Amino acid sequence: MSIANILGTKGQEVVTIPASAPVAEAVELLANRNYGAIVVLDTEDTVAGILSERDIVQSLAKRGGDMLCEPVSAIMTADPLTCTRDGSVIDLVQMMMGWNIRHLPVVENHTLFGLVSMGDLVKSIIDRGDFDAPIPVRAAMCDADSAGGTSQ
Amino acid sequence: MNVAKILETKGNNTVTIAITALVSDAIELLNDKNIGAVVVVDDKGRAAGILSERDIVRRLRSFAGQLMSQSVSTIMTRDPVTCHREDTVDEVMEMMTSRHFRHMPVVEDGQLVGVISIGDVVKTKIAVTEHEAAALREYIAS
Repeated sequence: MSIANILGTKGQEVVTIPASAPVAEAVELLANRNYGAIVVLDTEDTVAGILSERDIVQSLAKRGGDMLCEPVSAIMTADPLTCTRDGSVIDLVQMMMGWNIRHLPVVENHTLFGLVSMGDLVKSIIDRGDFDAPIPVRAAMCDADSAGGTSQ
Repeated sequence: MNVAKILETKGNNTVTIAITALVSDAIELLNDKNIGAVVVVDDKGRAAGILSERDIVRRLRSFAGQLMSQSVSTIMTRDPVTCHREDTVDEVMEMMTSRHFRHMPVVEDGQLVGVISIGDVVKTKIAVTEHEAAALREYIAS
């Protein structure tokens, strides 16, 4: 199971916003689409950052409602961690847990292919039962083989 | 593996806010603790609702500048779906994923005893899976 499969299931549409747009516009987009985060693009249409619900609430706490008029670039998370379409779902879930993040833009050669959330990844794991046939088990079996187990 | 085990691992430090508090108080709390939701409790210690980042971001437009001075009871999600200590990790993971929420209050005899997030659940699930893999590895090697 790879990221490409998940993008295939959820559709290729990626909602983005220019870095210069006001935060109010991003809030509107998140609310209308029911998304938890949006990818921010710079003037060359490459990924400049990601703006999440967490960024908005934390900025509200620090600056109050005035932040709605500021550009998205002022409160986004710049240079976010990204993944590629051939990324392994389990590995990426563990990476997201480690960094305490919930969204990963899918980027290859500066081209944005999509955005996956922790929810997307967990759903794919549940649907495929991947937790029940974990990669470490298969690795363990290979290790046992190479460590002199019988050919049977 | 069940919900009680998750609570044991993460510690019983449930972050709550009184139903009479203001949205500005909740925003400050979420920011201070770096968490995504807080359980709203009534004066009897019952979970009256849950207030998430999503609830706040969704209301930012409609309330314009007035959101901060609203009571948390105005924008919280009322009567949230709850779980119990004996529910299994698989049950709550399935429930949270299919119904698209990231936090669940844990309730016992009407009283709030904790809150678990999808992150807590997935972390536990991965730990269990790795433990089982290690046990199997040992079995194969022996």
